Amino acid sequence: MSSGAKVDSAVFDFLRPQLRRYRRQTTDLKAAVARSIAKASETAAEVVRERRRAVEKCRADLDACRAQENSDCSGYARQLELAGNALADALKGQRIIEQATAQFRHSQARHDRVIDEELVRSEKLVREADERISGYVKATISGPHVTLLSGAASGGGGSWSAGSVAASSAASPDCYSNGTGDASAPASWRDTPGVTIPAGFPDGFALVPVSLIRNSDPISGPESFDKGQDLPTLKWSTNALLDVLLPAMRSGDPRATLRERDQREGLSGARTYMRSYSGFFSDTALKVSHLGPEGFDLDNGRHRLWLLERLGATEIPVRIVGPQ
Amino acid sequence: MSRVSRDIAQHESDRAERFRARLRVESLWSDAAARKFLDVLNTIEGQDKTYGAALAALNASFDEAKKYLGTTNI
Repeated sequence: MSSGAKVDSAVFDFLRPQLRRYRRQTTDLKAAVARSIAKASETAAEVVRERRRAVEKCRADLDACRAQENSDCSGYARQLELAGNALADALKGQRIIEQATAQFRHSQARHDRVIDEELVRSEKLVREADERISGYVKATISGPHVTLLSGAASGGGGSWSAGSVAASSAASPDCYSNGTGDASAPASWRDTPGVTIPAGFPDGFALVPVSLIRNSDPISGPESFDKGQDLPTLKWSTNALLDVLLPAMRSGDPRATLRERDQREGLSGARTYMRSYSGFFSDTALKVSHLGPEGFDLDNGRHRLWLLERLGATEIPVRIVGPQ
Repeated sequence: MSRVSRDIAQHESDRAERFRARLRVESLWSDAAARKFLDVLNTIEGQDKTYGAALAALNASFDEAKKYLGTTNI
């Protein structure tokens, strides 16, 4: 690092949710503006319809007047003229809205494209810098030299709800004793393209592309969660997995790192990184069976898979059942 | 004021929040990678400003349209 350079690794935990928040803000604002435009267009159309009806009524009144002999219809004619002018105004107002909307849509499309590109760039920069700094910190000092940022975590504390995550042991070698992460192991699910075993993953666990996981019983939405499942806490833990747990795996001792972070951020109860870790890397982990070259079958964790997909995860940590 | 004025207020609020976040980032991170990241933020902020101007133009047009439509319900 150059002289005067400063990197507090807490900045990356702060930035990840911030960047996701920015995406949400952009999406929400776009939807709100679209609703405003739709409302203006509907209102203009309604005014035009009303004024057309007024013109038709005035014209009918004038025609009725003229059908009578020796009638003075100048008042009706004046009314028709006024109604015609009012309709012309309404049509002009409607045209202004249409033209302004067309012009704005051009700006909106450009905004969407540029923001998406730049957010992708910024997320990549943050990820790369985080990886670089984590490696540097690991090589030089024993732990992260961070200061606590209020709100730096992904939305508050959290972990899996009671029942969904009961185990606390992260490494569960029992029936998966052959799952070593050794790249020279015999051909198995390890040879499936896209499947990786990042450093720090317990035996039998791997990072698997969501596209390779077949889910025969997908859930349809929040209504599919049981009453006993704490959806906000599940969401918190899912965020924690992506923002904190997976980066922490690189530390070599993720449980110690996460325990320290829980203490540093004052997390306790259901929402802690350790509880989240236990949920994703123990007996209650997402579990898949290896089907062969076509991928994997989901055995356990369809709710969490749904949450992860909604967060945009393309690869998820799973425990793999079957020949290692 | 049209409904778009509320959207403009939201956009301004979002921008202010992001600016505060930027200040926090600047206080925590200042190396070459940070400079690259801040360059991206500059582009985003510029785009936000342009988008804010587009929203303001839309709002002004809607305000003008209201005069012809004789309604405040826009």
